[in-house]
Amino acid sequence: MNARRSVIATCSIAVASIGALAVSANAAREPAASPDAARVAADRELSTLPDEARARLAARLLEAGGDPDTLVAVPGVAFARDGSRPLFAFANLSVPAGSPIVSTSFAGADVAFEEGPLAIVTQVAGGPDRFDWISIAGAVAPEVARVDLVLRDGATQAVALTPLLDGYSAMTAFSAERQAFPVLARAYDASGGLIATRMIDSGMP
Amino acid sequence: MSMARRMVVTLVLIVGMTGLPAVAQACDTGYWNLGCAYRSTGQGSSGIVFHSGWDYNTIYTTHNVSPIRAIATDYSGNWYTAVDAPSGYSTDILRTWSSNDKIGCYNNQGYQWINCRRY
Repeated sequence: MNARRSVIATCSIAVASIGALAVSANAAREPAASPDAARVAADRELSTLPDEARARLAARLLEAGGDPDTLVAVPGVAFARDGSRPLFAFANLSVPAGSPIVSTSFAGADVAFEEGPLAIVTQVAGGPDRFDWISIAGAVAPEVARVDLVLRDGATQAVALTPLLDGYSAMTAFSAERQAFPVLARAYDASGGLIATRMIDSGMP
Repeated sequence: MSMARRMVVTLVLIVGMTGLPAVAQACDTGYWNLGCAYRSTGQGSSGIVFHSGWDYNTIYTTHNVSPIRAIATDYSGNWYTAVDAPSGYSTDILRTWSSNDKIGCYNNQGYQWINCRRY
């Protein structure tokens, strides 16, 4: 049970940071937040990043041709548009204070979801011989209604999804206990059918 | 050699050259290129960071099988952090760097072609 608790589905963080936007996993198919509400969420979420990280994310958005006025960010994922084309970046993974801060470039859905409706970025502290913690962030396509993580000890942990826009959502998780490191993510549609599986490789033997 | 045979040989050469994997054509010898080669599991490439202090270093990889780990290490190779991102994404790592720290790429699984660049 401790191991299960240690995987922190960081929608709880989202609840603290963006209040009404935080929803249960089953809410991924509910109507997306209004643009105004989403903008407020973006402001709060991005304000948790250092100035350098926000500046880098903005520069990345311009590189990708995105419109800064469309930027929405929730824990783990930033979303923007280039015209009607959605763009996704991964940022603000949940990591302990003092840890390296990781973000990515922006890319379209064709790149982000090239391998399926669940795109995941994994950050690990330590390695290849030492593993202190693992943090993951996922961008979730509209057809996904639920995501489960399979942990190293065999337990299964449901992950809450935080809505972005256009039906997309985001997820994050963190563990500092090796036996509770997630090893697999499974995505299900609204009818409960398994539609995607992603290996999560911490590198730990 | 007959004209027809010469044409066939020429055509084969052209097809062969243009048929080279795009990944190979993407290799270059710029200072930003940390490695461009097939790598076995557990192999990688790294280079000294450009500058010290609180700043970004960026790793971009293209690969053909599985995610490649972007890594930040000290001079001895002890990892500060490692990041797997989907193919097509570059990874920005923000931390307080020492002048002899390294950044690079690490192949965590499979034998695959990797182009590892920094920015």
